[in-house]
Amino acid sequence: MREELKVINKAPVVFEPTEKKGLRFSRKHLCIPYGVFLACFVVLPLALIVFYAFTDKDGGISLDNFVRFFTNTTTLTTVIISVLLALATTLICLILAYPVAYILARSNLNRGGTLLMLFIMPMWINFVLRAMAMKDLLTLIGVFGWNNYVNVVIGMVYDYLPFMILPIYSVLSKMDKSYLEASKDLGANAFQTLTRVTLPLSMPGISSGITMVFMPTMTCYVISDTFGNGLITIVGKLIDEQFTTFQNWNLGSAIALVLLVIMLVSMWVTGGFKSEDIRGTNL
Amino acid sequence: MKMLKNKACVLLAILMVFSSIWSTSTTPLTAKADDGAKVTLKIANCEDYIDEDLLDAFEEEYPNIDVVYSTYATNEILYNELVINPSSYDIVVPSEYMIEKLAAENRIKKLDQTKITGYTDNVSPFIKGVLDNIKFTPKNGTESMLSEYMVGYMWGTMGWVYNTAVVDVEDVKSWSGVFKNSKYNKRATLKDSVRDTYLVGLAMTFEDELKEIVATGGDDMNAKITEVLNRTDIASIEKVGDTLSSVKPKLYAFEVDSGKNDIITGKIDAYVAWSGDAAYAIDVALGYVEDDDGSFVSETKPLDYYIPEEGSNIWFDGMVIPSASRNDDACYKFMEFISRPENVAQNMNYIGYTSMVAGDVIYNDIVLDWFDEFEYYLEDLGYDLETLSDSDIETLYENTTELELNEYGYQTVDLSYFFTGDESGDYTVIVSEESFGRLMAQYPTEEIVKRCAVMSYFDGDELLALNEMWETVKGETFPLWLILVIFAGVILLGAGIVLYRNKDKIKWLKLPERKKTYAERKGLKVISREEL
Repeated sequence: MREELKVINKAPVVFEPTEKKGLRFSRKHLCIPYGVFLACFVVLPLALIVFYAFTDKDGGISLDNFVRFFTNTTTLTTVIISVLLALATTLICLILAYPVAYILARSNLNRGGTLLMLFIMPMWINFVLRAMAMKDLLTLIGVFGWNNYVNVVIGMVYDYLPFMILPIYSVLSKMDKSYLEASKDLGANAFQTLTRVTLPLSMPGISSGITMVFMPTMTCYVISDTFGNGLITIVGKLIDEQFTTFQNWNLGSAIALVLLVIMLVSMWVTGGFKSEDIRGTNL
Repeated sequence: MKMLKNKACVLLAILMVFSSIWSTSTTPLTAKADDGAKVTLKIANCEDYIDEDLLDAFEEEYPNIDVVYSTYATNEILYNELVINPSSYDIVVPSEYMIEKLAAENRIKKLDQTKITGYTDNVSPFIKGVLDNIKFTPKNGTESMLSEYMVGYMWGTMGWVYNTAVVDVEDVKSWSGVFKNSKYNKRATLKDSVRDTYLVGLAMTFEDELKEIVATGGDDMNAKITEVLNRTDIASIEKVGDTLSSVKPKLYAFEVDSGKNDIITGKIDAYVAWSGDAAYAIDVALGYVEDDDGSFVSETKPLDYYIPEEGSNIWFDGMVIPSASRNDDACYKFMEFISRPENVAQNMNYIGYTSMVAGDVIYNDIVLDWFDEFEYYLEDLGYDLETLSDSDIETLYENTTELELNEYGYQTVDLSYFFTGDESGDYTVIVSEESFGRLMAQYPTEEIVKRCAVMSYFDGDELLALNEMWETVKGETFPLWLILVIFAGVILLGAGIVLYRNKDKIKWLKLPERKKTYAERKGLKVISREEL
């Protein structure tokens, strides 16, 4: 399969225009708006963050911000707690989302995506509003207030579950059914089919789901504030307070940069960069 | 060459976008109110902090001024906005410490008070005195008073709102009392705002010292309390951090806006409140506030407000004009309009905070109308109000002594200090014991106000130290060895994963190759028994 693709790619391009004069519109130019957008809202802010992170209040180059971050046991503990909360959230989301996505992809009830719609619909409501409503609901049932960490995980799972369901669903629904038939033909039972065929084939969906849940939950302090009653601090809250309350943009940028590096490293370690894993399953 | 052209295209596009942003943000607002053209007046305020009908009324009175109203969440966010784009607003309404900071950095204008006579004629002399006392020296300037930079808007205090059915009033007479009684474990909240909670922490840490100052009294009492509640030396910050950390496990929450709802719904018994929120919470809990659909909130909880006796915070919000604003004329018109007593009364009616504007209109329309309970006293005595004329009530009022009032649980509260600045006793209000706390939420007595300190702004090293303290209080701190173990574990795990993924590429990781069999070495073909 791969070999064939390569051959096709090597074939001469047929529609190459033979002559070019001046600035002619070509398909490439359609990328310009996106390029400008990228430059203004991604590259430039990132450059500013790097600039602020490596300077002090008077604009001089300094590493003080990083020194402060890495020598303060409270901030390091905050990072650890954020990662643990994010890991717990991701794991629970995965355990809940996989069966749901599986059923949605297989079920006849889901003709036309009605069932899927029911799961995705909460995403259309503002998430702060959802968080408040969920908090009141938990209070009503009497679950709220047992343990603030449990509360936060419940809140995060509730808000980020659709982001796990969607990519897994989209992979599973596109999966070729003949693989399952082949597996059955070859004598595999249902469990073997699941572990040897379905699960490995849905790995791209799982990994993009993990990325989409793990990363925002590290910083989404609205939920940790609402569900943790302001008694739980995560990295996002640290950054926010540096920018708003303490007017220390330099330290705030440094923390943001450290977080970015942690994300990149963890993605690299878990192999998130491999392009073949993604295959259009990202939202 | 083609590549270059493309790059030029992109560059050009970026430049165009930037230049358009640049030109719109730096266009000087040269239009003047009196040349007939429409002037845009950009006003920013905290959420729900003005009756927006007043904005319409203002536009009606000045048809050539167009008000653009927006809101911001906190003083600090407003500060960021003004630093990034100094001309983003024409009028903003920060708190006194932020006004001081903005003025010290020359980010706001000194005002011409003669243009706002409606305000200068009616502003409470007491408040004016406090503001005049806040002196500072701006960069490249001479010593100034805070009152020269602002037109007073609202003011208030901070204290405990508590459920009188559960909480013993003795426990809220000090900041620490609530936390000393295990009855309120996980039933009280502090503010999720470093300044407010730091002040509470200072008051708890130096409680004995403050109580002694209050007991001694004297003219310099307020100055002494202010000194204690503004301490930012490292030792004090550390002590306060310890106090707050020891209190944190007993808290239900750190909150900024959920407290008033939590106490109304009964999740908590006491919460640290700003006076305006306190007034709101007490009213809602008593069912005085109309719901959106016109029905009254039915749940009744007896809430009250108490400003702890060792001292508290007094704060002021004022209207200021950023230095980059070019609409002075319209700004003054707006500030004059909003400070007219009848508009102040309307505004107070809507937002529930207390204006710095005093005067007879405020006394009659707000203080007497909202709080005076002399008629209830008469009813308690057995009078039928229907049969009494106004002059009858007046005569009864003249002939009632304080002792008689006290007998029925009423008392006369003297607010002359606020309205006239002296102790003339001309501005008094009669309230029952139950309503006293509610009155204190909006018009505290002189005795209470004298125990309240203005908190100045923190900057530089003291802010860094506060920041560190606040992080430690709000977050958890694992011991160093645990952190090191966790980090080492994560790094090992990561390294393991990387090695495992690349096991084929790394030579020294490869298992030694299996020894070749005899047949392989000789190149013999192996055939199975069946084939044979």
